[in-house]
Amino acid sequence: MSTPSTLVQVTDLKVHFPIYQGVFRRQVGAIKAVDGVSFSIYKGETLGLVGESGCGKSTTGLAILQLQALTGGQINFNGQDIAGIDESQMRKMRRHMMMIFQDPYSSLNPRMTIGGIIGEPLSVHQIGTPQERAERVQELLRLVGLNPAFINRYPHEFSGGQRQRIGIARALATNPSFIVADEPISALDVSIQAQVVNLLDDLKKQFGLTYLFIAHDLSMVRYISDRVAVMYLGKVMELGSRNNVFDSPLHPYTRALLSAVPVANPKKERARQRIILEGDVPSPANPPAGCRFHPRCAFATQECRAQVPELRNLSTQGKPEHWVACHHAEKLA
Amino acid sequence: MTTTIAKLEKIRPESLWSKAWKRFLRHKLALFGLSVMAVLLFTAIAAPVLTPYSPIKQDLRNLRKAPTAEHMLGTDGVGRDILTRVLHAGRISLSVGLVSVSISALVGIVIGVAAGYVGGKTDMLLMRLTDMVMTFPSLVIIITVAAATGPSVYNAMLIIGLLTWPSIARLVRGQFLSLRTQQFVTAARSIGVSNWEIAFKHIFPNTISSITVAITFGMATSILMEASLSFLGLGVPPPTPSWGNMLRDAQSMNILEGMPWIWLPPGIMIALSVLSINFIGDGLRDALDPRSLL
Repeated sequence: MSTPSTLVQVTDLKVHFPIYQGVFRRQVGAIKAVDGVSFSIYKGETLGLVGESGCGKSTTGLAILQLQALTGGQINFNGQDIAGIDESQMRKMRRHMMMIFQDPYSSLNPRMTIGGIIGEPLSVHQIGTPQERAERVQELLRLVGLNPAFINRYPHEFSGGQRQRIGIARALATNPSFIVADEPISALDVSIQAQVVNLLDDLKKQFGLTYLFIAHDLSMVRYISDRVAVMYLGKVMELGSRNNVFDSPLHPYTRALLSAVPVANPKKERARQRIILEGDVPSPANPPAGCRFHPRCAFATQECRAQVPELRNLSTQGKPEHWVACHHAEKLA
Repeated sequence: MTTTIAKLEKIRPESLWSKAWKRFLRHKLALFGLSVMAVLLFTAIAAPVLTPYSPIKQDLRNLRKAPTAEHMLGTDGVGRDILTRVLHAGRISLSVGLVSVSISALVGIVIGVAAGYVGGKTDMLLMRLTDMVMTFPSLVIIITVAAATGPSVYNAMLIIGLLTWPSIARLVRGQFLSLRTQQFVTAARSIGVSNWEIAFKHIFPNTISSITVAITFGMATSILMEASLSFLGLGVPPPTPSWGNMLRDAQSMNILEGMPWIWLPPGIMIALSVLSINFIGDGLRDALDPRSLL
């Protein structure tokens, strides 16, 4: 594999939501939804972003597309820093970076026709004549496996899976290079999930797309991703190639997470050791000092309580990078 | 390619409005209301053709005549034909209702959209203004304005419109606040749609059904308000007939007791129009239920 070029570079991304209290609405703290996240996404790859509910993965996706105000950090898209730039400038960039949403019901405007919904990115960015746009909309419908005759229908006439395809067609309309898929399958039936994931994978191969695939379904992430990042309480805990993260996880949190996935093979399933974490996820308004995972970690030491572990690359020369934020990763490997 | 598109255009399934219309037709009371309203509107518009008398010209030889073949509903205190006056009053009362609800809707929508979409300080200021207007004792204001400018049809329209917009403003604001958090708005932002277009192309069309219902009920309220203002002599000034000022005659006891033909017709018209508009509103509310769209 030749050295991959970076499409999206996220550096020390922070999104804090202020908490106001009292008569004078004084700020008394902040929910640190995303607190210093760094990763890069290479051209043509799918980066899976996993973590439990509330760990900040969706916020990260929204922040990359400037749909969520940042507290700090840089986002470099194709060589251009887009963190906190003017919305009028950002608007010009939006045709290159699209989003697929979680809920196929609320993500389509019930008052617009399918043709209007899918064609909107084209008209907003003034691509083509109305005639060309109409043709492009039909081409997109065919591409996502829907009948082009549907252009005059309304969203409520479609099933969840079909609606999600409409959302995908909308995201593809302007030929973007980067797509953030925010839990695109978690609201669908299991039988439809596979169809949609395969569709996304096919489209990626066909158009050389780059995905940030946000999900909490680990087996789906393993299926579609090239690399995987694991988030916990607003920070990236581990980041590496799919096989590295799934077959030889280094971080205790990743191990616990993976141990919860059932295995289809009954013999292996019986041998599966479930790592049960104690306690709950701490509040992101007041995260623990040191390593954020230390109160629930079986291997925590004094060092973990005092010092925040840096994200370090532990792979040997020539092997794919494997980053982990744990003081004891070497000993645990 | 053009031929295929032409063909596709033909496969146009029913629009949202035609679906709503079908649901409306299933609502019996609403249909009844719509037919009554149609009749009232027709008789009001065609009033000069339907009766041979003038609604204003007095006829002192025929004072307070009970219904006869010549005057089907009798005559009033100065000899005017009651039927003629009731039909002409419909023109005034219904148009006061229509115009004042339009003023109220216009102001309410503008303020509601501004508060709901811009949010923050603008929202705070506009909502406090709305609260203020809501707490105005309307009669006091009306009496003041009527005393200062003298009663007139246009004043009545303006006053009613400017006192009833807060409920529409609150409704629109609430709808905007809840729709603003829907994913299709985030989706529109992610595409690069401008704020202006998000407000008017994505959010506003989704509020139209609730606004339609609110306007319908608002119209009924306005007709009632006009009637009470004119009854008190602060609305439509005589001799122009309106249902409200025709009822003024009933303020005297011997008319109330002995001459029901003078006050019953305008009273029935008020009740009938308000009732049928409210039925229409109920039907619209069921037909345009936004939950039936998702």
